[in-house]
Amino acid sequence: MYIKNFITLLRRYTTSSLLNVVGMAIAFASVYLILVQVKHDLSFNKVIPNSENIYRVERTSKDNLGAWSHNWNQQLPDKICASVPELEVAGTMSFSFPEEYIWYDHSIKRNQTIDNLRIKLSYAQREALEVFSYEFVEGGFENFVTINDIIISEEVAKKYDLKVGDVLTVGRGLATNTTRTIAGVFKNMPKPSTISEYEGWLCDVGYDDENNWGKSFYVRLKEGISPADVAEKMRDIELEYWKERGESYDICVRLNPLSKLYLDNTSSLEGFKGSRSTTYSLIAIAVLILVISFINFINFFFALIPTRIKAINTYKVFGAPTSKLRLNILLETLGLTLLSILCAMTIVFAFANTPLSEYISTSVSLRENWELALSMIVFLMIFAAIVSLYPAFYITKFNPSLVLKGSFHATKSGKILRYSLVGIQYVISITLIICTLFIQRQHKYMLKHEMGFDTDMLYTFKVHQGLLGNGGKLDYANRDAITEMLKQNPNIIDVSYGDDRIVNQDHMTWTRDYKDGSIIFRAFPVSWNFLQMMGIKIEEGRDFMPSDEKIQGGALIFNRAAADKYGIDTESVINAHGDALSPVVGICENFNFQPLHKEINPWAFVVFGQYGWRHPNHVYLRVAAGTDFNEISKFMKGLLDEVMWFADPESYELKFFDDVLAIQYQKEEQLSTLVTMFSVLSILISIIGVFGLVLFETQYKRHEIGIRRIHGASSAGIIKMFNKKYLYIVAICSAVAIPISYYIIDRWMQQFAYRTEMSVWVYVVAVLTITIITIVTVSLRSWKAANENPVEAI
Amino acid sequence: MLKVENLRKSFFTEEIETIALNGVSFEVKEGEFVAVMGPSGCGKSTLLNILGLLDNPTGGSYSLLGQEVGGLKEKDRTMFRKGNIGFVFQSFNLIDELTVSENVELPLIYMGVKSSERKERVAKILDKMNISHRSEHFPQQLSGGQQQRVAIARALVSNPKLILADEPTGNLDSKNGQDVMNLLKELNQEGTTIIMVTHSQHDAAFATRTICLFDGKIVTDVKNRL
Repeated sequence: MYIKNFITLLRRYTTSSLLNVVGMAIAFASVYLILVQVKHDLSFNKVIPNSENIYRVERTSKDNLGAWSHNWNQQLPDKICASVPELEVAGTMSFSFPEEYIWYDHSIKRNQTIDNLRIKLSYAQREALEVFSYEFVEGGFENFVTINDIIISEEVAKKYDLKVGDVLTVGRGLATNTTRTIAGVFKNMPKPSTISEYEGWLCDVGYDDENNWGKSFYVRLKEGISPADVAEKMRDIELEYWKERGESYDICVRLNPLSKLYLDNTSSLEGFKGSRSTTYSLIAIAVLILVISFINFINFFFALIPTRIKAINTYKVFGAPTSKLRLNILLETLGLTLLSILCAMTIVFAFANTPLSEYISTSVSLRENWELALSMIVFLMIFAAIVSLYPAFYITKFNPSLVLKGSFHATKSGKILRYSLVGIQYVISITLIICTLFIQRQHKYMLKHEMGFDTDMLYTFKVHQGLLGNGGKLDYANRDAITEMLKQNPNIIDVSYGDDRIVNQDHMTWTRDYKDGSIIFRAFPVSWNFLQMMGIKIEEGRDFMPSDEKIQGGALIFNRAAADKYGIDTESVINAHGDALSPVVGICENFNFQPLHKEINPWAFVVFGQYGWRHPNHVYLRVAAGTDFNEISKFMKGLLDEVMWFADPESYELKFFDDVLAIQYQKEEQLSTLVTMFSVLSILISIIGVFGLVLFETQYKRHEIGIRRIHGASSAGIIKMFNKKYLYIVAICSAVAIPISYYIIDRWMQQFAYRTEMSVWVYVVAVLTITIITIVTVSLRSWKAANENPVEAI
Repeated sequence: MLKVENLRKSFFTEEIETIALNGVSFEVKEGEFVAVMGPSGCGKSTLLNILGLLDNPTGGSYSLLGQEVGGLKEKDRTMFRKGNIGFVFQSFNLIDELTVSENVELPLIYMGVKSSERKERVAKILDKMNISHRSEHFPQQLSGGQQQRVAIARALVSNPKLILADEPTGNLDSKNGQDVMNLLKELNQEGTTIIMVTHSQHDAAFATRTICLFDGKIVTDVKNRL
């Protein structure tokens, strides 16, 4: 009987049922997609066994530019491991950035064929991997002892048909004689986690150079041990370490829980970084969308009351118990919710095959997220049942004799409730539009912001270190030869080299003695012509010269922030690297070397001179205005394919500088896209709700419209009458939404040191948008009522 | 005042044609009070709707105030109705959310009459209908007789040349019904042309002429003895 009633409802009230189901399906699909992203963010690294006892050890000094560093050398962690018995297991590992995976190309010779393999690799000590409880399906750590030993994931082993004992050669097509022997095949690590992104590990047997500070230090504590106490012990050991070397730094050490690293904005996470503001914004949007969709449900229910109430009360008159009628409404709600869930699943399935799904950090497949999907279904059914109670009680509360006589009048409280509910939808929609516009503006602002150097017609790519030569005593001949080769193309105006991407979260931090104390600054090794090519202005002293690369200690140029903070001038000499002293030859203007979240801090350009641990290998090209990117790209490919034949072409791909810069704002781009996408959907759902309310009003006011029409009202007059009411609601809701959105955006903007203006026009555009959408919706719906033959209505 | 010739009206539902009016012809002169009678479904209300320009005939001609109006479009019918025709319904058709004076004011708003003049005319007509003491009440706070007086006030406020009344006493007790009929009679004597649909012989007796319809055709058209 209940199923029959439900089918009758769908057939009898097709339009409103359809709109109701569409609105809820869009909402449920959106909430599911958001929760997939949120689950990914909140569970990142928590899926690792014993993650609650695993910590990354971080250090900072009182004046470490406000950042916690996770960079360690090998010696200090070794000393700590030997002296802290509370550590169950601990070790160091090197991570690479996700956008620049270390794609170590390998080959394997099988009979007479050579297979090229690409494996995402990095270095780790065996103990560091033990921290993460790696398990093996074949082999193990016992043979993971030399620099030539490698362990790979089960997935890679299957993909390339590899097994323990296979010998891989580094480089494509057996390019070198360096070989790796597979010591073990480990079970794939659970996702989402940092280490699951790596398909293999090379054995890090340690590095003697104490100045190589590029390793992450992970520890697993024994049960019940206080991380704060261990951090204190580690601090003492580090102070001792520096004391032994005649240094005294005011060091702090902390143990940062693995489970919190992804959303922790006080330190970086080896490239894999979430955004707390994105995650929390998404949770808020999910809640709002759910609220909007159930408001719609209530509005649609009320839209049908004028036509349904007579039937309900006829049942009453003929003996149907009120409880049964209410149960029927409850089951109708559950039926509609279930139908919406099925449609939502279809939407999710379709969404998974669109490019938009790439903005969700993980697979949105229902099969892979079945626990989440099932929990959501249970929650939605319970929530729907609760939401249905009010309409069920409302429609059955009237005196049947009065209703059957046609004396049903919508109560004033019901009217206030419905308008308030629509008001909530409007406030949410207007707030979301304003927030979306500001997030987009901030993203654009960051991409277009004057960084303090010339980004016009600037391209970049990375060459293999081996091509430039070894560290130690530097020979610039190879570099200069490459420069000459590049300059053969007349459109390439200039070529220079930097150690990394110039705009980056994680530049090297150097702590150096200066005068009676120490100074801390970001250091960026470059070729002598880097500043000139980038258009960075010198305020004092001079720019680098070719001769600076020929003297032992090279030269330094500090930025204005460093000069002001530490009193550095062009007379200063600093022991920057190695044993030789490096003169400060100039002070340059401040420029943004970090994303615009950060203020400008002390910074130094370094020309290594005769000695350095490596050649800066990020090449920056300035090309002539109007040059076709594809032409340069083709030229470069021809050139580099020849000299870098052993490397994967992806590793030296030419890129626009602007694109490289945009990588720094990926999180903002993701937030901007997701918020825009879900805002549009929530506005759509809200408007479906408004449509439902107008449907109710036109049904309820059908009689009134007829009377007005008979007495001379035009169709336009009737449409205007309806619009006036909704525009009044829009005006009130805008007045509420504007301060709310101002507060939200103001707080969100706090994370950026450089912010776009809080322009008034953004608010104007948001209110105008919602006004126009409302007018169109209300006019479309009321048009039919206004043009109905009044005779039919009275 | 008005003349209909060979008026026809059919309704179509799922390939079935229902003939509501089948060749109705008559003329009403200014100042007449015509009662239209007949059994349910004979076409009385359909005729009244067409005369009130709420609906178009399927065939035949309808001339009102010397102008052919049978084929007017909805917009033009609305324009023509304003100020020329007043309506009184059996179920009063007052808007529940408007006060008595706002209900009466309604036709004047759509005629574009200025606010001050509207107030004046509404006050005057309510006074005439002896309901001014209830001007700020809502319809539900009034008795049936009072509501019908408000409806008549609304019909008259625009000084129409023709009043169309569809069973104006159908929802009233005999006392209130009598009052309403006296009021209509009084208006007719003042010169207003009235066409009234009714089932009641008693009410029809107030009219100066009675037209009887049966199956969409006029079967009798007689002058009443006064």
